[in-house]
Amino acid sequence: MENILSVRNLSTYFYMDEGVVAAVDDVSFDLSPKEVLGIVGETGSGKSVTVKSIMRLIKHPGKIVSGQIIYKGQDIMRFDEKEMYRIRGKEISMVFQDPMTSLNPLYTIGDQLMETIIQHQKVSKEEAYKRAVEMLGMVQIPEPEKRMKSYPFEFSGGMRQRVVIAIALSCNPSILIADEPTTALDVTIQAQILDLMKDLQQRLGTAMIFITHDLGVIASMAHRIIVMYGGKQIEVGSSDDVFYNPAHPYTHMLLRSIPRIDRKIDRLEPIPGQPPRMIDIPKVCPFLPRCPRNVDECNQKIPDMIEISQGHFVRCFNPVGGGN
Amino acid sequence: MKQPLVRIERLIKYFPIRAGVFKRVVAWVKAVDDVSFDVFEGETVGLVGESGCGKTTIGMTLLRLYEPTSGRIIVGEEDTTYYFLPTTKARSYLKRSYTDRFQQLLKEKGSTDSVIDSLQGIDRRYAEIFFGDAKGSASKFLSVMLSNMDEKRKKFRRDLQIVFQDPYSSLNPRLRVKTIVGEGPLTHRLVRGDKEVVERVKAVLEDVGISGEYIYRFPHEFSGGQRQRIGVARALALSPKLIIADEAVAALDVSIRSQVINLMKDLQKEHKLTYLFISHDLSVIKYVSDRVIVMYLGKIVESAPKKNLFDEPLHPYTRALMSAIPIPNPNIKKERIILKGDVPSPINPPSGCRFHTRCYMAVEECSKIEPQLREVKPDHYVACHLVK
Repeated sequence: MENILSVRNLSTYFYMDEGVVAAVDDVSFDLSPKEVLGIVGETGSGKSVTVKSIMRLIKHPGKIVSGQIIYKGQDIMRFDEKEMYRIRGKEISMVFQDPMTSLNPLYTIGDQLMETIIQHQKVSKEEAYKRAVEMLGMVQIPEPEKRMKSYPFEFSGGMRQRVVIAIALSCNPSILIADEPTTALDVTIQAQILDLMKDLQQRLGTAMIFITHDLGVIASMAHRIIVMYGGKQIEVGSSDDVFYNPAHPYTHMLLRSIPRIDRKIDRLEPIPGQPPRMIDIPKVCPFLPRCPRNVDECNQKIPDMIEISQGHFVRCFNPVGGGN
Repeated sequence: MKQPLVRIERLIKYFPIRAGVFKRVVAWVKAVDDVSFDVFEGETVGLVGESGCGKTTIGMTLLRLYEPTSGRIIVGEEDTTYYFLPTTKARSYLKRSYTDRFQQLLKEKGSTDSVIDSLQGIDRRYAEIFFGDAKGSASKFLSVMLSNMDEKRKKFRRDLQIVFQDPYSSLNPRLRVKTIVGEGPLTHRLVRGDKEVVERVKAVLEDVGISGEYIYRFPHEFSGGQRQRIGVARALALSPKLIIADEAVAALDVSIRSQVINLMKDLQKEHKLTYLFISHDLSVIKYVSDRVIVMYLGKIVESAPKKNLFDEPLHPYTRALMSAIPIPNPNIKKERIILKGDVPSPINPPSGCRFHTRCYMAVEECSKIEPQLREVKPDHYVACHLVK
């Protein structure tokens, strides 16, 4: 199947006073239509910067230093701001973590929905209104027509996130990027929103990049998973690969370190040490200082991504074999 | 019977909402509404619920960072409810709760012995003081109770400590670690002089896995996980009896979170600590707690030993909460209970059972009659009409 999005060797650096932060370093992946790709990682692993780079939303002192982003056969890295305008919201749209900051508190949600629709589609105001009401209904907001006149503050967190999803989907994008969309919500509300997103994704066939730090959330959502650490991809595979046969020591240890509700654990096995400080890091595996499986080669260079089974890649000289 | 370290009795905390020029109270936020539970020495009680359920308010009220609207907070052998009230209010509280009641009982029962016999626990102890040392005189009883208040307050502050959620805002950025951790022991005269402070601070820091060399550093020189360790060290420095951990690991990254959880468990064994562990995360609660209390909109809906609660959750809300937790296992097929709607406002909580508006099992009586917390199995308490 033709890929809808291909990211090749994307690197985004931030030039800070203290030094250079390689927030995203040589990231490559493909996204096929109707696929849900999960990116999982801790704070500072580069997962958000990766998708912001795709949307070309990186601001000074950050800079995309290299890479190609091929969307439907075109390298959108070469697009100017004006052409990107057409892409953002229409072709690729985004849902952020905090629904309060992604909505404008001064406009009704009807205005905000219609703005997006009118901006990207040649439709009359009446049609935009109809479409907006339809979208609100689709994200299961009760009495959508009445709610068009409400302001964001009149909505609860979960409802706001539904509105944001409605806006993101209002122009039938080919790709929806969701950056920690449920992190700010309570668990029962999170379950509602995940349910809704899964349902809409299947119904509309939108490809999705889903970013989270929560291994449980990603397990229920993604077909394929990228694990990031210290700005690099360290493991890519189907969700079965990553959860049942984690190959990178970090993934392997992370899955053992988390408290779980589905298992009885006598003692957690935490990963020792700290995540890397990202400034001017040496050109070796970022996990090296915390890794119990390191070999001599680790001190010399960064390992390449190697395919250990079909579609399962890992960046490690000494990957973990066997099951978890 | 084992005596609880902390006993909370019918605790109520309402916050006023004021409006208008005269800041008149127009409504009350019923954050905690008639909650009772015990915490025994050496155990970890997990308090779990969604935002707005009152779990943090309980922690803060227990520490008297908020004054309770009503209810009793008993720590060890003392009623501490009046400790931080102004004298007049403390007097009227003591009169209302004890002397008036004892005198009334005396009238009914006839003899002091039968009054004492009819009472239990702290009431009995205070009745003995009232009829014994105070010889039935209210003013004498009050002066006994209100003596040495400074000492009592200090002991209370030393015995109960808290670790906050955010390791960034909970440490003063202008103070060195030595001052942050050493301030408590110095105030409480557990150490004297600079040399002892340094010794003490170094010892606690090593306890939480931070090198003693770092005592002259500032908080910004540490990572999030290390800061949280410093937060734990600050609580630990006073050798408290109870530590309230209010979402203590929620702000930490996954790989660091388990380090801090394990640390807290180890410290508990070493120092015989008791924890009140407040969290929204059921998987963390499952790992750390001995007993779990589930709250919804200011009420306890279920409370049970960990094993019973997780093996057989009885309240519909607990079951929904458990089924909503995403499990890191892609092929697990579980029946998700998706609750309708949002948590209602605690200003006007629903009538009857507060959960009935979202409950998938609710019947008519649920909206009319408030279910009481009752013991349905040994040690397993549930507030639901439908649980038999």
